[in-house]
Amino acid sequence: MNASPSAEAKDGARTTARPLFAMAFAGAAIAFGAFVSYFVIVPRWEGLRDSGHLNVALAALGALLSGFALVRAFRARSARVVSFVLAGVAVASLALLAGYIYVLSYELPPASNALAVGGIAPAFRLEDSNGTERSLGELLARGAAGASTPPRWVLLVFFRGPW
Amino acid sequence: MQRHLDEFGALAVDVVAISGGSVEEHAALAASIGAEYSILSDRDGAVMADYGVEHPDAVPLIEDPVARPAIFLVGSGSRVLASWLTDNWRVRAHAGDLLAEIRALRSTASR
Repeated sequence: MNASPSAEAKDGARTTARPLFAMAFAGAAIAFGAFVSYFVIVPRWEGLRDSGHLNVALAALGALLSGFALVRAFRARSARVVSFVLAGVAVASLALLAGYIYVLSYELPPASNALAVGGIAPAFRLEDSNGTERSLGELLARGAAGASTPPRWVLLVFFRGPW
Repeated sequence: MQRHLDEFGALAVDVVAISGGSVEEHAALAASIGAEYSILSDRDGAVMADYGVEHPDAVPLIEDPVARPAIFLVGSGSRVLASWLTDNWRVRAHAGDLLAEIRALRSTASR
């Protein structure tokens, strides 16, 4: 018995939808994976973390792939909604990551506000992680008694926060 | 920093980190990363302001004072011998670069 024309059309639509869905899903997965891995895995490698280009390139590749799938889906009138959603995920991942790396990261007060080389570092007294008070003078004085040792220097590392 | 702490120690340099976090948060951080250097709490941001590195309204929902990442090498008489200021808060000076510059400064100072 021959299949009806409408059943054939449905089969054809399913055959077209599967690869489109796979392409759109792969694109979204690559882009979202590039976004998440930048914060979870990449910090282990300073070079990759500092540039961020690899993750942005991967996210762009994912967005392109899912965008291509979206165009094909609209042309084929198949899997349009799911392709649209997945392309949205991919493009949002790319936009957020690129915005974080190329725009947000540069939002800093001017460096000219900072204490200049040659200036005198202001004294301070702050609690360490054991609750013990430490002062700059005390840190610099450590080891000063030994005339044979070089004068103690202190490397003050300001970081954004423990969160 | 922790991985290079011995190298800083060999150059008679003490590493001291500062943020606006609480003592308890810093204790948890030190335990999680195995930090053996001091992490100081600048709860009101006064020290950040004194050093000109405060970053107001830096992070939404975080009420603690936040500093721009900045590193100062302080020597005798509290004089600032070098500083490393990033223009991108994701990218900080690497320990290897800091050590190389400190070695050069030590070498110059000993002449």
